[in-house]
Amino acid sequence: MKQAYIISPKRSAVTKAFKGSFKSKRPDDLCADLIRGVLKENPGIDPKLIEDVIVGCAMPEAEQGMNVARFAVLLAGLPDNVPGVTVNRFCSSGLQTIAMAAHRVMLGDAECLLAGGTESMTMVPMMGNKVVAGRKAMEDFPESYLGMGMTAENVAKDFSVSREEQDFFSVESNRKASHAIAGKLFKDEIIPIEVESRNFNTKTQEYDLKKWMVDTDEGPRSDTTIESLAKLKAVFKQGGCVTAGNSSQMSDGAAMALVVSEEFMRAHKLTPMARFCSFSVAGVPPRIMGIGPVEAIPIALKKAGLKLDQIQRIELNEAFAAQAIAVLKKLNLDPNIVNPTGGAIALGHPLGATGAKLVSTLCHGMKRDKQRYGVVSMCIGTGMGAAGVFENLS
Amino acid sequence: MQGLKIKQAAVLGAGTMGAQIAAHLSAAGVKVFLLDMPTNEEIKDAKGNKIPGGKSARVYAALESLKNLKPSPLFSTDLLEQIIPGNFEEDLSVIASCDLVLEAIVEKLEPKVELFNKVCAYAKPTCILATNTSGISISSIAEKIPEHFRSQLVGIHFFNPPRYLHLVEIIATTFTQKELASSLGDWIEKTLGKGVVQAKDTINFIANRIGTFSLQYMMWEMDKFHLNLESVDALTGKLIGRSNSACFRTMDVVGLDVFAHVTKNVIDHVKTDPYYDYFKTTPWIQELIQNKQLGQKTGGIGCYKKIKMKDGRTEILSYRPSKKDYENSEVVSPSWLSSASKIESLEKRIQYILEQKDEAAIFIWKVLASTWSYVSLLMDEIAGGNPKSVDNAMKWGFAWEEGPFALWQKVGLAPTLKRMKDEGFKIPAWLNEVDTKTFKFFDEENHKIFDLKSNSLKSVPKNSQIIDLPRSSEEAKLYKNVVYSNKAASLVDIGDGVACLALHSKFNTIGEASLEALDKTIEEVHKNFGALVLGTAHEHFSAGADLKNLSVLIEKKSWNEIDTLVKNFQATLQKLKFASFPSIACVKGMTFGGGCELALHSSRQLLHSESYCGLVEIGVGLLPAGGGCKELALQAYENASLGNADTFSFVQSAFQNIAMGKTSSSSLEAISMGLFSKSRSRSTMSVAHQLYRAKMWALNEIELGYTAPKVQMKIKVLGDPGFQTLSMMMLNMKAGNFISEHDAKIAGHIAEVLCGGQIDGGSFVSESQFLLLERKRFVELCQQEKSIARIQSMLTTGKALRN
Repeated sequence: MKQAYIISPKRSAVTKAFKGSFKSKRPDDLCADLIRGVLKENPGIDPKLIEDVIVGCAMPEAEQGMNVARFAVLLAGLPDNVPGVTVNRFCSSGLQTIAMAAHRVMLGDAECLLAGGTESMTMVPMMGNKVVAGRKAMEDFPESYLGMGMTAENVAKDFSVSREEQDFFSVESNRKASHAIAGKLFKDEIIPIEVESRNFNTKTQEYDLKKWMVDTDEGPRSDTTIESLAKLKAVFKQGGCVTAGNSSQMSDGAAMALVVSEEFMRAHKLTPMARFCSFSVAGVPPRIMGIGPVEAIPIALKKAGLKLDQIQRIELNEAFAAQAIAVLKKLNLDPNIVNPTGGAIALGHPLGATGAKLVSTLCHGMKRDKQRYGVVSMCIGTGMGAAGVFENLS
Repeated sequence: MQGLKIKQAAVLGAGTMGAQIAAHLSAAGVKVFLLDMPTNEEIKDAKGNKIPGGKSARVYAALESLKNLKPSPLFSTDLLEQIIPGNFEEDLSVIASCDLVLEAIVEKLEPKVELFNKVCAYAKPTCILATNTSGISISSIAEKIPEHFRSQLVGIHFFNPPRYLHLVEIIATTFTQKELASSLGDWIEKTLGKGVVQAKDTINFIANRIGTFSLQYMMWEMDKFHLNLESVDALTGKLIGRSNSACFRTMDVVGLDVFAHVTKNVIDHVKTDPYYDYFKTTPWIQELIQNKQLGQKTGGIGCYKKIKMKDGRTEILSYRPSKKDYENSEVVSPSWLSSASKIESLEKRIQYILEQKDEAAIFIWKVLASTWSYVSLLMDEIAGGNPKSVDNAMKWGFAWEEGPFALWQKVGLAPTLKRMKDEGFKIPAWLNEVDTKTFKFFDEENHKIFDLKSNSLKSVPKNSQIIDLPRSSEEAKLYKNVVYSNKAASLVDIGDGVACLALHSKFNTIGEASLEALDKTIEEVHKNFGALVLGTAHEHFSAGADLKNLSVLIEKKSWNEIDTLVKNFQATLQKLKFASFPSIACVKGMTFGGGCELALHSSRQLLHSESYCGLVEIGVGLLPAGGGCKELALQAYENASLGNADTFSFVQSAFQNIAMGKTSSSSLEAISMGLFSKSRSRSTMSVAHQLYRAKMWALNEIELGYTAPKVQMKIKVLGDPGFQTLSMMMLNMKAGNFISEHDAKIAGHIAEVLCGGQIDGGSFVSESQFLLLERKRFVELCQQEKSIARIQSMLTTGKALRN
């Protein structure tokens, strides 16, 4: 089998849904900006040679429907011959696309692909614009229709995760993320994005077009404290423990990377950031979907021929503090290597983009800290977990 | 000055009163400017965010704080955006466009005079100037403003909270233009829906003068009768027809300092008051004020003290002046108390109490006698000799069940007056001279009221815009225009070809008799009238369907009879809906369940602003089966078809209204939450004029060519996919313990009905499909143990059981 390499894993800043800087930025436009940004870093590549653009999106409809990948390709100004495909496995979509691209390269089926994800939670709500439950599913496995927050409550109960632990975890996530931003640690992985806002100026009676650049994550709150989080009420269950403060934020964002073969890399003098080692995805009971990584991570490690103690960095998506803590406990992970620059509770979780965003953060983190092996993992709605293993080459 | 027009108003002073009055005016459709002193420093909200508005930030903050007041002063939060904030420095010029300027700033003469003089520089000559002062003489302000505007100045005294307290006192001075006070009074009654009393420009006006006197009297006399304060409250509340909060609970709510400030006004300015010494603050209240134990606003510590027990309960301790500390409550319980409490009629209850000879009963006598003495002595001075003004002021401002004069007359003037004289109570000379056997303050039958000036009964012209309805079948017998009557309702001819069905069963519950009356009404209106108004003289339109009868049928397991009962209910309401004449329901107060369904089947709804409506059947373990689900479903499908909208969201909102048993906190909310259709309902603030307006609306509908709605045969429904999706939401609510298993079951039935059944999505059904499903599920629920328990709980405790 051939090897697949990750070149320029880049992401946009992640902003808050409905009130952040990307609230009017379409997810196809955002994805196109990322594609252009990644290619700009690699001027040696003739865009005609890109064999496919695989884009993850968790709610691929409305503004991010119509095969958003192909639209992003066209909006990015790539030649007509470059195709695009949208892939959906909810919160792991962005990791799934990188794995799919890598697998084609490893098979010798393709030399150069773009993979990543995009999501605007401002524009398309979770579960989509139209939710319709099916009779048979309601009768046979109604728990697959439980809200994500409710599954987090179940995880907290089944795995004895206390409210205090969750709030502490969330304060830490904010602290680490704020620290990372202050230290400009995300500077290399973020592609600044231009946004614009149109307003009618009643004085001049003309349209005001305001443009500005967005290059900083907008989610973290450095002033979050245990006390401030303790005041919040449980959202999903009466007397429950999952609050807005210990859950991931709704966000807008995108991430893209080049996935190439060794030959292509050499021929175009590209600098790899990482080697793709393995990918796994596994199902768990829908009522405790948050526990997915517990199944997925060991399988991915086994495929990569690695032991857990060889892993020096883990980007574990913090859908909810409850599930993240349960995964840490269950797999006996070292908290110091998990999300050293904060997680989704602070930085946000743009569903379908998250997987690729975490690959970007992992690769740049491993480079900074001179680490060799790292893992990206997340839980997935309706009860799944995914994991990817990467080797740092820079 | 017929038909005053007030389209724009400025309220000066954005304190609690000013801001709330502004909100009330705005709700009535007046364009309102709310101004206060300019602020130069930044103001921050509770979260530490800077409040916008520059120099008007104080007003922005005041408006924002209205959102948090409870009970809410706002009929709808949207109304806040209609109020235009400003400040005295930059924005006084807006006054030029105002028809009314209402001042509610600090209670000091100098600043008020200064502000009015500034206002006069901008005001147009016809602008009405008003002050909301509760203690300062209006004349003393009038004397110090430009001559032209003296005739334009009146007192408009709102009571706090202005949305909920019905009374507004209007005070004219000797300068005030003739007829201004009465035309302004008309406007306030009709547009703002308040109860207006014309008061003289005397200290504390009518309600506060009498109200504080009576409470002060209790405080000074209680020791002689060995009564502690909780006993005083037990004896002088509902028992004698006064407000529930009686004496000391009222003090705690008002604030001991505020109360003392009001009584001091009499001490400072009315040395001639016949009960002058009683207005002095008692030493122990003085002490509490010094110790900042002022009542509700000082953490619930005042006359009473609320303490949180370890188990989470709150216990209320009472102040013991002799010990200067709080102790467990210990209420007197005279032997006559329980039999007295059972007497429904107030005057008979009081007559019974006055026969008793123990200390508690004598205390009550003294409280009543002193009030009667005081009001008869002051009636000329404070109310221009009009006993009705005094009575209305006390009913509307202090929540007395009966005004003092009406109660006195009913209890019996002759024996009480004799006893008062024997015991040395002061009596005015004119009263000494009347023949107590024949004398009357009010002659209701002949619409006459005693007039002190002429010392005779004077006719009061009947207001043609106030329609009286019988409050019971007995009362109906006294009406000359009653067409039909049974125990639950009476059909009254209200003129011009309009009939009015007056509901008057207990809580206006809808039972067999009401349906019989409605049936008869529909027949009668078809034959002899052009339109129908549905209303009631009682406070609430209807508490819902009659559960008592239903529970009897459930006990007998008469399922078929229940089915027939529901079928009849549905059929009668359908008859009303499809009648060829327009029907207008005058919704007000509580309008729940079956009462709400009755209103929904009328062709139009005229809602009083204080309308608390909801299809709340889930609280008693049932679903609306009188066509309530059907009507909300039809509205949802109709609204969805108007635009290119997703039908589901409309059905979902109907579902939430019914399955969560949501109730509105105002008419505007009842409409905005989708209970009543925007196109077929209207809101009015005056409950007194509601029936008249409904009648005019009905006549208008006839004039515009009213036609009955079409029977809907082909409604495209959500069917099973919609049902499954609503069930999915229930699944999450249940998993989160927000609802019980039984709630989920009932909600499932509601979802099924609203979706037209568990049938193919997009199927077409007729109206009858909804009715059939409603009825079927209703009868099924009647057989459920948990539903039966809920019905029983409501019947025995009046509370909804969550099981």
